[in-house]
Amino acid sequence: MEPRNYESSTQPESFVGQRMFILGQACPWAIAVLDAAIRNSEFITSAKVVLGSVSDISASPEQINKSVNNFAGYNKNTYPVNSTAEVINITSNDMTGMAEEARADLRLIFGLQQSQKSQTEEQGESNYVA
Amino acid sequence: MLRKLKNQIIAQNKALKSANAYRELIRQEAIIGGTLFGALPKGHRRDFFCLDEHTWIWHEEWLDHSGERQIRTTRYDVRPSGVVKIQDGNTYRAINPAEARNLREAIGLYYKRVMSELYCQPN
Repeated sequence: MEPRNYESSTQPESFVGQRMFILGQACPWAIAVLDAAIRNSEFITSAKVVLGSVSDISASPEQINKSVNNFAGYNKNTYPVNSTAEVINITSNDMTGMAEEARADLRLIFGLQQSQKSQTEEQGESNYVA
Repeated sequence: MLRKLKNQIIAQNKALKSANAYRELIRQEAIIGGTLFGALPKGHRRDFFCLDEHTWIWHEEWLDHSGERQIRTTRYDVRPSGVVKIQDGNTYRAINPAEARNLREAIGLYYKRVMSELYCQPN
């Protein structure tokens, strides 16, 4: 995603025209960047919610992957790739990148949960021994 | 020689006139931009405008309880990787999702209002 060519030869000569030209470039560009940022943050936030539904922390990696993949499908349906094609060019690579980021996030949270469980179990065992 | 000097002065005057007119356009945009966020309390002044292709400015002035003038300027930099802001000369930081939504809404409204009210362009 790159800003459009600001140095276009079609840039008008009058200052009013120049200003309108800049706004015509700047506003859609800013909106596109913000859309992508919002979409990405919603994706990650929702991914955490999906993980929250995987309450059984003994879930297998396959089960977690299934949840993540279901979520990725949901996200694509919510934000059809071609809906903002005129303003922002979201490719399947971008979607893959976002899904990867969400997966990493999920792995991190899941890893922490597992670590907390292990600590609780260890503590429980030591208490029992004592 | 004299003709060359005259041409230089004319060119300089033209450039100055254009720069002033351009600044005046931004000032008018800032006034419209300042009205996008609702009514202002007495003593407040708010400007919101597009400075250039990738910079947006929010400027706010108000009187505090002791009657002293307070000023806050927030600059938003739009980068391909996202939007960062710098406030009153502090360090850059990324904007949070709620602020991103508000800024997006404001920019969309700004474009519509400025184009129709200042440049008489139908949206």
